[in-house]
Amino acid sequence: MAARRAGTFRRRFGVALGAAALAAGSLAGCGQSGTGGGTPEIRIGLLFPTTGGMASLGTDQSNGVKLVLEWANAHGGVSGTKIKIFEGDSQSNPGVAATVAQRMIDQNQVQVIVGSYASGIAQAIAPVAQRNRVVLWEVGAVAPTVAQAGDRYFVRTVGASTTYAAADLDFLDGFLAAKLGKPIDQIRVAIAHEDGPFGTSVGQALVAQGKAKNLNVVAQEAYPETSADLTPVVLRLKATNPDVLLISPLVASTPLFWQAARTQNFNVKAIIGSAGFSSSTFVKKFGAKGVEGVYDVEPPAVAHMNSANLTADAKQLLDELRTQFTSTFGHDCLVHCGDGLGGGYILVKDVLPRAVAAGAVTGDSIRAAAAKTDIAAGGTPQGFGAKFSDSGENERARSVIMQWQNGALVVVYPKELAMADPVYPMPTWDQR
Amino acid sequence: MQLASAAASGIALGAIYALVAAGLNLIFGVVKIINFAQGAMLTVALYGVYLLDTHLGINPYLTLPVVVVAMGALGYVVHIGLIDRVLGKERASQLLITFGLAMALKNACLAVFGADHLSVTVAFGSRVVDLGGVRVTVASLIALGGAALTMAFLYGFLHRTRAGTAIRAVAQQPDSARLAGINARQMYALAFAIGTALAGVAAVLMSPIYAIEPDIGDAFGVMAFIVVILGGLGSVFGAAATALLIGVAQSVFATMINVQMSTAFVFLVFIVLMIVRPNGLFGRTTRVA
Repeated sequence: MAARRAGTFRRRFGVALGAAALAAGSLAGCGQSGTGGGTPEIRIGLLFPTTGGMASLGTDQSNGVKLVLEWANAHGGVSGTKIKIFEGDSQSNPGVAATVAQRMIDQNQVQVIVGSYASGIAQAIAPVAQRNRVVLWEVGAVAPTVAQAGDRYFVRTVGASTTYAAADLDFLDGFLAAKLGKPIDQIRVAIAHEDGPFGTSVGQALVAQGKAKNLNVVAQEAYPETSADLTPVVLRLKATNPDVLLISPLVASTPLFWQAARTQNFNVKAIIGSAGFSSSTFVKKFGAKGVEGVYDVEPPAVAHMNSANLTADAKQLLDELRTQFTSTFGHDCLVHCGDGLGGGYILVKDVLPRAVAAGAVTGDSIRAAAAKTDIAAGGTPQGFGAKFSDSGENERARSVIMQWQNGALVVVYPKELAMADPVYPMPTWDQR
Repeated sequence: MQLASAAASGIALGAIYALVAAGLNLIFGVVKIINFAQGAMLTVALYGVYLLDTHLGINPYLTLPVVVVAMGALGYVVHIGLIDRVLGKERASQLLITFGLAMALKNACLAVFGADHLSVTVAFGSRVVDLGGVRVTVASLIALGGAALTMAFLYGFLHRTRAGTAIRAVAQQPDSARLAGINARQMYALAFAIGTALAGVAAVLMSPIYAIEPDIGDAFGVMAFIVVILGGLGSVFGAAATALLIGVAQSVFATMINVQMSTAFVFLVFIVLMIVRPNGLFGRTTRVA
């Protein structure tokens, strides 16, 4: 009896071992040659700063992408092929980002890396991806200098910093000029930004594009994001008596700047911020009244964006996932989560199906598939379309103007995505 | 008026630097250990204030006794458990153990609280006081007053109490102090505990001003080192005066000349002064008070 049981065990063990060997062979093949010929999965690495100084918004962006990938799997995968997700943490550190990217490629055999939230982080990942012929699918970093010229494995779904400047100037021209009662070239504009790749690129884009409109820039202040006190920046800006302030900080410096502006009674008719000004930390710190009327320029905070003008597919995904995001993570899906949803959507709904149809999912097939993307405005959850240039930039990406109204960051410009009309003028500090 | 506002903002910033540097200075002056974990202790204390404020509804300023006692206890445990074991060993071991402790504390904060920028709010703290056109927040004035009181308390403790006198004796002549019957190991532990408790005082006073996140101790920790070295290692008032000077110089330079270069300016001055006055601005080294 015991001998028979032992024989049965040996047979079962042998069958299991054989099955495991076959499965291992199948997975190994997938890793080496990508998906194709019936291999079972597409391997996608998510590489964002989920710890460290950039983690609060980096985590939002990562979660946005992940929701879309999981949504795709729940709806049958990409043309029947399931997605396997590998999550990495760049720890808000470019050096770590490069190491983790290489590890994802070597050990997890990812075919595409989706990242990176910050320009400095993306700059470290891009050469690793290029060297290994893996696509860096960038959904968040906006500095124009992220990838080397000629890097054909870089694709960016979100608009570069030039789109921030374009949206700012469009809003100045199309709305604020009339409210201020001045033509755009007579509006006194002050520009301030953190001095990293993000803030600097936005500042430079504003100056460059502003020249074409004879923008009257009365101050341009760069400051370190890690400053312990931003009173000097406020004092310098206040001395130039601007009508409008365009400011691009990250998360850490935003509360310090706003408190310093309040202390020094620095009032302007309109302030258009970005990044830190759209974070939930900003409204938590100062309350709804404290931030009322502050504008923000970025891709849309999709939780408060009008989805009625989107295509049926984009609208369905946005309406479902922005609700799911809020219930899962306890706060609204604002700008950076929206970047994740939008970038993930273009990847799984448009590009990967073509790559799978081509026979093998590789860096080259993904890039070739991205070159054929042609989504009209309204065709993605962020409201803009998608068409990638030779350098991988989404030529149809746009930034929009939002405004804090009653504690919510609401899209107010342009009209087709707006949830509310822009309110002008911004309350003075005495009125807050 | 712009210059006066810049100077006032610099004084407020200097008060914060002085508070953070005070504990570091005491620990170096007595225990003779360069404590890289002081910034991380500040971070831990800030999260302590946050917990007491958000979970128990205690006004951040009223958390002072709890935070100070808790940080003092933490400092005592850290000294007995870690620092005491490497005191007689080479300097590299001491540096690495405090560096390791800093990393452990920072990452523990990250694991427990996440990376979000948290904040505590004191309604009257953000109110603005107009002093003849120079505007400062109530929170900054409280930090300045708190820093002055803390320095006075520290000086009084070191000069007017038996424990303080024993600490100074151990700092200046450890062997002679032992011969006089002072338990030097206990005094080291006490100094480390008080130094860590001072990080708690700094945390309480700066909590309404700064967002709380795992890296917040880094920048203040580095500036505290500059303050301590320039002020004369172990000199309480030297460090406090230096902290105010650095705060004002940094703020005025940033306002009148260039914001981006202001930190570089402070470090440049630091390098020059280290060459010209290697014993610090006030020429005192490794004495307590």
